[in-house]
Amino acid sequence: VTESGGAHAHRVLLVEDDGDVREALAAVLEHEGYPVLEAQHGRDALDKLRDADDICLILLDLFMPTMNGWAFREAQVKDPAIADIPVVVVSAGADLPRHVAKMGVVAAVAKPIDFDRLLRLVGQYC
Amino acid sequence: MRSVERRRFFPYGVAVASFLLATAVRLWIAPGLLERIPFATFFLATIVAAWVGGAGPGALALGLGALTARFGFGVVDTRLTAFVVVSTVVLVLSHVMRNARIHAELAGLEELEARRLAEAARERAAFLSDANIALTASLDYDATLATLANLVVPQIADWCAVDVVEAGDTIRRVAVAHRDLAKTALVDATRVYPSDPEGRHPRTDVIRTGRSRLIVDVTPERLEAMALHDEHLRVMREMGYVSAMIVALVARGRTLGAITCATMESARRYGSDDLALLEDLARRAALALDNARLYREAESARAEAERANRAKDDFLSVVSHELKTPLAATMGWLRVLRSGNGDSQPRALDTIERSMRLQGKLIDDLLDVSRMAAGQLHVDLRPLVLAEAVEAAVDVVRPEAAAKGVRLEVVLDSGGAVVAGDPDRLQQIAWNLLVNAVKFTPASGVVQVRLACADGHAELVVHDTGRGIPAAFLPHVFERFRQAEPVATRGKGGLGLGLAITLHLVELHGGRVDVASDGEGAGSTFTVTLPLATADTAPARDVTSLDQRRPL
Repeated sequence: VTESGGAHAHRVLLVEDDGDVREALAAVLEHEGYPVLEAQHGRDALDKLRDADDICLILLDLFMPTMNGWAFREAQVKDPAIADIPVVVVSAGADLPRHVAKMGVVAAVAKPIDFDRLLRLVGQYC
Repeated sequence: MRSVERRRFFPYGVAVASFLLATAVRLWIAPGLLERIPFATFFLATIVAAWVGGAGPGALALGLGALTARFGFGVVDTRLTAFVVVSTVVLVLSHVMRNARIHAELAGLEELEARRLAEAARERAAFLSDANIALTASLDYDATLATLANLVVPQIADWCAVDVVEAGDTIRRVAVAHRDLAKTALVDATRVYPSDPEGRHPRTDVIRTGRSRLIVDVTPERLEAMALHDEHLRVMREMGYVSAMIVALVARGRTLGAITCATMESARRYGSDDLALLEDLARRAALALDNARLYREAESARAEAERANRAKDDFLSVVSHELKTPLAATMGWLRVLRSGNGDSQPRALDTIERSMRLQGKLIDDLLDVSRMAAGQLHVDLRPLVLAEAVEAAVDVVRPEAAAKGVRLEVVLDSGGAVVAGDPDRLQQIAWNLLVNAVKFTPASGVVQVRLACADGHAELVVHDTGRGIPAAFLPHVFERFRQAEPVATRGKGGLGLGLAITLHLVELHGGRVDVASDGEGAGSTFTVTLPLATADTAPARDVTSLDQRRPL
């Protein structure tokens, strides 16, 4: 499933407020050959999306300061330039299915992360 | 008495008068004409007397006429017999007709009275039905009370007051209505319930016993007897009460209060009908009021339950988030390590260790809180130097503060003060306050730690130049699961348990924690006050939760 060391043209946008988790996730993805663009919260992600046209997938945390995952998703679908980029929610919150029910995302992965599943999803979209 | 007699003899007077008139006509006015029909005038007199007075006066007029004709005018032939016979027949007929007429009149009167009563009953029913609609229109307690007063005036009373019994058996006047707006200033004086500890006013008795009172005539003596003080008497006199009723508001066996009605301008006097109407109204009003009260209670209980439920949901989310986040970082790095990537090993191991420590701390806090809830949080008290515990906590926080660029200013000026304390728990208290201060203070901010002694107390002050605490949140700072930021957008981690645990631990040590903040952006100050150890507190002892029933 994985494509260790293989180069991908597109980047994964990783939106996560916890520095340790963001770093670890980025390390895993980059080790699997997926370039990563990091954002600390929803507002940061929107800013970075404005300058990036090579994002194949957004990995989105829900509970974040400044702009949380729900608010980001709301802003994203309103902007035609980025509305079509698929989103996978990666969250540690309880009751994840209920939290993402109305978000229209392609998948939700609970923390602690099932990396095999996450990498399958990334491979599917990137 | 005289009028009754006059009424009784009047018909006989009429009989005599009509007889005299008939005689006069017969003698002077038309003697010629009446020669041929000599009894015509007496016949008419008999009919008039019978019509006005019935059989008795009619017979009198007949007798007088017959005697006069026989002996006065000397009529002895068959005409006299015919007059007597025809008059008697007419008399009987007229008597029968008269009785029938009187019966018919009486029946008419009765019908009128019945109609009046029916109308009154209808009005009463309509009033009560309107009242019911008005009283049940709102489930709002105060609105219902105001409605009640306005229903009574002007329909039943010129002035009305509603008083309710409140917690602690105090009575509060909640509504006053008055017909005459010009009397506003005076009426305003009746808006306060007069205190009546001796029970002089009949209302006090009504509220106590639930029995209604009807005062048909409010006499000056009565006013004086029920006045509670001079001013009260003056106001009551000036109001000019004529008649009054007081009825208790009783619902489901509980006296909620009383309604007092009085007449003034209308000068109407109350009777038992009015009292019955007011009692009926009071029953309905009391039920409506009680429903409003129950609704209000149910609403607030529901809101409280919803709040508690939301807090529980939020807490579960926070616990889940806080416990799983470090796990996610750990799992990620473990995967990288397993794949044999040697370059990132030091970074991976650092993060894994920090994550595991963080989780251990979270689990400790959760355990502490559940012990607190069960009243089983122990402290092992022994004499110890407070400064040492504080210093140990400072040492733990120092790297964190340095990494964040927050300056620590520590002044431990307690001169080796000794308190009865649990060393681990005292360190936990200081550490919790310090971690919070560092967490909420931005880079290049300052966290001050001061330890001093005064009046048998040691005082630990932790002050920061961080974001501060909104005034609205200050009272909730020490509550479990409460954090100033909403769960979904909070920027700082943690379970929101640290300060709740700190408060509990400080109280187990016989001390107190205070918080002060001048608001957002102004930093905050936490002050822990602990009693200094004396000879008798010195021996080691084990203290469990102070009061197990205390809600945490």
